[in-house]
Amino acid sequence: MEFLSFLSIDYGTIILVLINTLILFLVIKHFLFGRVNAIIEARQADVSKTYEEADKSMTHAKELEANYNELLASAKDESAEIVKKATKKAQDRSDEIISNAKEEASGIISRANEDIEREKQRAMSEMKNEISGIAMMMAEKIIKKEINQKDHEALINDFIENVGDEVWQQK
Amino acid sequence: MEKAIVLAASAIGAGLAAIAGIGPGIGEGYAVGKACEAIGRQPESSGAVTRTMFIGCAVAESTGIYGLVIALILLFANPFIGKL
Amino acid sequence: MGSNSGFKLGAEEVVVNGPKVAFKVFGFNVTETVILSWVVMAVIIGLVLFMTHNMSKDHPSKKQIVAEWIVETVNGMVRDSMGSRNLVYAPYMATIFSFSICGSLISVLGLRPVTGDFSVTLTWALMTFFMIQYAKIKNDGVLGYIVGFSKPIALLTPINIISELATPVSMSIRHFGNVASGIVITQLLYYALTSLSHGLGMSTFPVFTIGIPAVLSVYFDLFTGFMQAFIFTMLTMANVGSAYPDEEEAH
Repeated sequence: MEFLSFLSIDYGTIILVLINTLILFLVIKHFLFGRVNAIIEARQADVSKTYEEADKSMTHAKELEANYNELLASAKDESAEIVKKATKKAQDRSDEIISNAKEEASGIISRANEDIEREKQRAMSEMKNEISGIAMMMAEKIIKKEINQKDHEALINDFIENVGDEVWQQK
Repeated sequence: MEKAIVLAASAIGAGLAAIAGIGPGIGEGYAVGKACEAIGRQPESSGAVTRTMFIGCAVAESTGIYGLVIALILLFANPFIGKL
Repeated sequence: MGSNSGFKLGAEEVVVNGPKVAFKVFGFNVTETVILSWVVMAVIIGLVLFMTHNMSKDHPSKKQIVAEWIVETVNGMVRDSMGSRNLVYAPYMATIFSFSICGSLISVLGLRPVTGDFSVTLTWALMTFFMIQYAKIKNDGVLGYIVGFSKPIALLTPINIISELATPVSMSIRHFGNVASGIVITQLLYYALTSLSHGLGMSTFPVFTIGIPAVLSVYFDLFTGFMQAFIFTMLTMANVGSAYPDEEEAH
């Protein structure tokens, strides 16, 4: 048996080991790294795809949320508007009612006042006629003398006009 | 007789070459001590410290290994005997 | 050592040889080392094919998880120490690491470690050396590469060249020396244990050589083999990575 020396540099060994290492390198590169990297890349592509989809649905959801919020805000505005309008309408209506009522009331009052005035006038004129009649009778009886009724009536009327009015007013 | 002298000198030379182990021994001991200190100060980085220390130790060990190789050559693959 | 009293087991004398020459092809030696490296290659290739057989994207089996872990770890280490520009070197680093560690660990089986042959570690170190030079040329251009030797001053040119050449020498001798010292120590231990057995009268069957070397081989083979494979790979990565750094690190 032939042995090489302990620290020998053998060209045959170097060449063969070089070839062996290269073969092993190619095998490891192609089979281990190539295959595993392909698998890992495929998985990463999967993951990134999933993430992309998730992102997409997220943006979609955000859009929906924004829309919803917008809708909500506009609905709020609208409802506030409606309430405001309704309040205003009701206010207007109540104002109208009140003013109508006031008008009516004032109409009633003024009519009543007119009635009163008219009654008063009528009563006063009646009273005047009666008073003048009574006065005429009294004066006829007192004087017992034929007088021109026409002159006296005017005289008495004048008197009552001037005096009785004041009395009525003061009463 | 000449062969005996060469063999004896080779053996002595191998022994002397093994003295080269002193340097790496001290150096590696120092490095490991420092690594222990570092781990004591920062236990969370013990992995990195240990790895770096091993590499440093291996590099520091080269000189000792060179001495060892020379000793081995002198003992087992003596180049001087062939020259007699 | 001198006794001729018939058949004996165990190491009768301390013999530390280089690898055995198995046969010769065209004047080139095909040594024990090469044959064992074929065995190692067969084991690694078998493992690789086994692990990457029938891989699926969605339901990885256990062996596929192991394969993915290995690839991810190597990729991560290469990315950390060489930069992501040099990720193409990852399969080479895995090759060197696996070849080296399996080549060292077959000594547990009582075989001569592949990495205990200086030719092997020298081959790998030369591959690393040419990779470093290639990376430097790629980084600096041919002219910049040549000019780079005379930096920082022209006087340092020989020293730069020597330090460049020292890298493969130091790497190969480091790896070889560590593993070879394991071989020598194992041999010495066998010899010592055989002598001890003989001294105690068990000359036909050296009992002590059965279990005790296995304990020491845990350090000399497992630990050293793993450490040296790791260090060889790390140094390759560091050297090639610093010769071709990432863009942002270069500027």
